[in-house]
Amino acid sequence: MISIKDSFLIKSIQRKKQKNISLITLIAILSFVMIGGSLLILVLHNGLKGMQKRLGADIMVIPSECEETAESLLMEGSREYFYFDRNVTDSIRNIDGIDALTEQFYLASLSADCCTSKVGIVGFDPKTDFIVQPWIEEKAKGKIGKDKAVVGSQIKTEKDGTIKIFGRSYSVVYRLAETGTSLDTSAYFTMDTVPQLISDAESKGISFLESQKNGNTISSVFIKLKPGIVDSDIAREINKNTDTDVDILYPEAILKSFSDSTGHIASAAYFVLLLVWLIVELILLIAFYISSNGQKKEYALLRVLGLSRKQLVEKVIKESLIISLAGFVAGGFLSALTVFPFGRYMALNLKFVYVTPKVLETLLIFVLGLGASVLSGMIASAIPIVRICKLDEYSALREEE
Amino acid sequence: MKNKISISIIFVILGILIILAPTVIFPVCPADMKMRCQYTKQAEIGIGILIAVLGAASFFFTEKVRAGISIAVAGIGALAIAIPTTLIGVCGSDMMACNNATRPLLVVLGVITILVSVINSVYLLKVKKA
Repeated sequence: MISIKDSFLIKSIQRKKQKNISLITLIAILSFVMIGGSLLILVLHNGLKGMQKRLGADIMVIPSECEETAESLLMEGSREYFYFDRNVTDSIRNIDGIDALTEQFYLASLSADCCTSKVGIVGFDPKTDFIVQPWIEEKAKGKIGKDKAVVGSQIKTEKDGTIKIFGRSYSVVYRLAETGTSLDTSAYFTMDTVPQLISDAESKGISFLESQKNGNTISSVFIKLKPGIVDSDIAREINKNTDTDVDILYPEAILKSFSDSTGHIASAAYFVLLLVWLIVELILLIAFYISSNGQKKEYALLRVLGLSRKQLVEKVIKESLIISLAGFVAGGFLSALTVFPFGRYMALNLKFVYVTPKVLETLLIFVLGLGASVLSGMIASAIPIVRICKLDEYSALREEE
Repeated sequence: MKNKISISIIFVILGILIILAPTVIFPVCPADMKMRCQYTKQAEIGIGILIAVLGAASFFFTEKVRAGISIAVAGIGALAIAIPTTLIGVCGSDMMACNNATRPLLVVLGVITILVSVINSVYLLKVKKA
């Protein structure tokens, strides 16, 4: 019995160059869209998850008329800051329904030139904090203290594991996971380091008010509510109890509008994925239908030459496998070349959060893309297979003579 | 003949794209500050010109010389990647176009340049000979 040698298979594919190149292009488009789209959806979901976890506060109290600045500070990393007196915290502290409360202080580092990015400096109180510390590993937690820093994922540290702020070095005890927001370009210090940061900043030419220098200013108060408490009730209480004018932000609500827009992009991506798959599958089916029509005689000849039906079916399957694989390699390469290098740029322009996908997730998506390409090829090759099974060699050879 | 024309055209296009990447497609930071991305831009313009000229030149030579030119272009492609990543670099902030757009584009163009030239020289030296 003649066995179908691989060289025969390759030759058979090469002979129908034009048809096969267009099929490979189709599958390449399919796997490009599948992999690129899935990566986009993954990035969106990861970003949202990271945000949801990190913004673990129900209410954020800030100085009045700073709402927009605070929002863009949370989401886009604006480096304009605001301050109010620390006694705001004391007047809020005793309101019923507050479960936890913590203060933060913000400051922006100087950037020597445009080549180094500004670092957002966040002062937090380790005793009451529930915003930063839940994301620090237990082991590193003990090391947090004066003159120590916790940094976001994008902050570049010196070779000896320190970070230089206003000319002074601080040793870095922990690096937080990526969130895709301004949190990644921030460095976190305990409140007792803040006065030193301020005096260093002053020596570098930043001017401060007297009240800021004596350590009595903070930038925001984060509040976590007891279960079942309505945030607007507490907001009213806060306004009533404080002498200073304050604004109240609901991080959850900001997050909601953000997650809505993310949801829109994701559902559009799902739709495009499905649509492209359907169109490609349809074109593949038509292409295989037409080509198998033309190949009837070839199949009949191969049968007459002694190939069994099984061997013919094998040949068709192998051919479509090779075509699918080639298409997948081309499409996968293209999508890797677009998504990974330009993901961050696209995220900045489309205003979504970019968190680099993990290796395992990425591999899974590529396997999924491979599955989709191979499956599409297999489904389409069902047509010639059915043809072969029904083939009547005698009339097929006669028909086309 | 086909290979001669297509490779020359591809190299010239890649060279022009490498010139356009930091100047027109994703311009680097403005020139009023002396920044790393500025020097990267200047270096990449030189590299782009070199690749385009070699591409045009390869049109006039025999297969062996074309294979040699391809090997040289592969090396220059590696240089196109090394300049914005290690040799000179770009600005540090990932909010800046030179960091999040120009650099990746130059890396992608460099990768394509290397791939095309390596495949071409292997084709000219091994496949065509055989």
